[in-house]
Amino acid sequence: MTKRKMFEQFLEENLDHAYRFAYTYTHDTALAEDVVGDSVIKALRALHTLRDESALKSWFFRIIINTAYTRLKQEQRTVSLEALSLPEEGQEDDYSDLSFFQMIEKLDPHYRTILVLRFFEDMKLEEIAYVLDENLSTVKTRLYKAIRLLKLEMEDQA
Amino acid sequence: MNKEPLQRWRKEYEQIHMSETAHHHIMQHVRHAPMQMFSRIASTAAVCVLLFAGLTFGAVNLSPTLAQHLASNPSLAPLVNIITFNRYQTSDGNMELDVQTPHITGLSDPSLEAALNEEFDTLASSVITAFQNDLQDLRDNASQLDPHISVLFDYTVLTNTPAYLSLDIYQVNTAGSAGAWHHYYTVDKNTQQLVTLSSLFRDGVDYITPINNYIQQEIQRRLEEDPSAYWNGDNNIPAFSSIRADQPFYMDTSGHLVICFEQYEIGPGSTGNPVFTIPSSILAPLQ
Repeated sequence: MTKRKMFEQFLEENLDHAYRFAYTYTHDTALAEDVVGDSVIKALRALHTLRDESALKSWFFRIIINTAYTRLKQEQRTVSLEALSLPEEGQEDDYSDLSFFQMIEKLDPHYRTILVLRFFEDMKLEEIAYVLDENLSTVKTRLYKAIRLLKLEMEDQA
Repeated sequence: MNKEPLQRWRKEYEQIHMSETAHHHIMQHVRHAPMQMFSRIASTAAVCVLLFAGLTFGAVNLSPTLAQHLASNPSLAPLVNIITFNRYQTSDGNMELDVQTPHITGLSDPSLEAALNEEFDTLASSVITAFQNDLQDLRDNASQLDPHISVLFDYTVLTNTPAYLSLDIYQVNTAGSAGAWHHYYTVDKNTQQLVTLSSLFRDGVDYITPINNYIQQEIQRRLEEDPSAYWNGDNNIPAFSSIRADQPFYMDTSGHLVICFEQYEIGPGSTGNPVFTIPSSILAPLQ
């Protein structure tokens, strides 16, 4: 199978996932569609550089993040990008009553993305590290912080 | 044990769906976008350059030196080649730049060849300069965003026929491309002259109106397939009204005129860079 065909099949199954993930950055449906559309174009052009085909989802999600950041900067929608003041541990901020949409508005992007990839996209920590271009221990530390912050009691975080 | 919010959020997350229109459009693009747009094919013959440039990288106009060659003399075409003349790569954290500059060789008019190559070099260095400026700007103003930007400047041969060769010099900003635009420089292979849109038609003939009428018609047809593919005047975004006298264009492999628009010029980003192949029946009476 050509990489192109493989990517087409991947998108058939994952376009909604890509869109949801983009939405967690844009908080706007039209913008999320644009980000995914642009990411697909970028991916098609860069497909020949993809070495490990099993890493396609991580690779594509990484493109989505890059695209989202640039689009947001262009749109001057900095509100969703500004380092939101993050409650310290122990502070009485309760996330558990929030809806998903409120949660993604409120949670710092560093924690939010890891939360989304781990628990909603079922990615492994290694894959998340690749998506974020961070090392594994950073990802682990942030995930645990996010869990504590959200006061989630988890049996198995990883 | 308090997993409840996670399960609830996951359910809400999974209820987010892309619109069918966008879904359809993107899949259509993936299935049908020409493969040659995605891989570089070095080839022979005359030159027609199309340039995709990102928002932050200004348009590069036809240089005066190059423009002088619009009137260059016809001559026999020797073996013409496109080569990668220069490659420049740099990276700084999550900011990457990869620039491959093409050069044309073997044109019968050495001064046209030199002018084209100088033009390509200028394009490449403007991309490098803009990248470095962006890098500085992001460091100064947006370092907390941990920006990831990758810029690729590369080329591909779009069309290679006895009549024309289309060299596509493009830029890919792996981080969004709002405001991307094209510049097309066309050279007739037989005459080895750079071609302008107006030079394709009889002197003084109104070529704009017939082309506009065709594009209007075609936009309406495409809108029936995908109602959001082109601006329709909603939200104060003007719908397509007219091409410019010097609208970007290239010649396709069948020798048809292809009129090109920048991304976002007449439709949303997901529409990409719309092109319209103008039927010969419309052009013949004008030539």
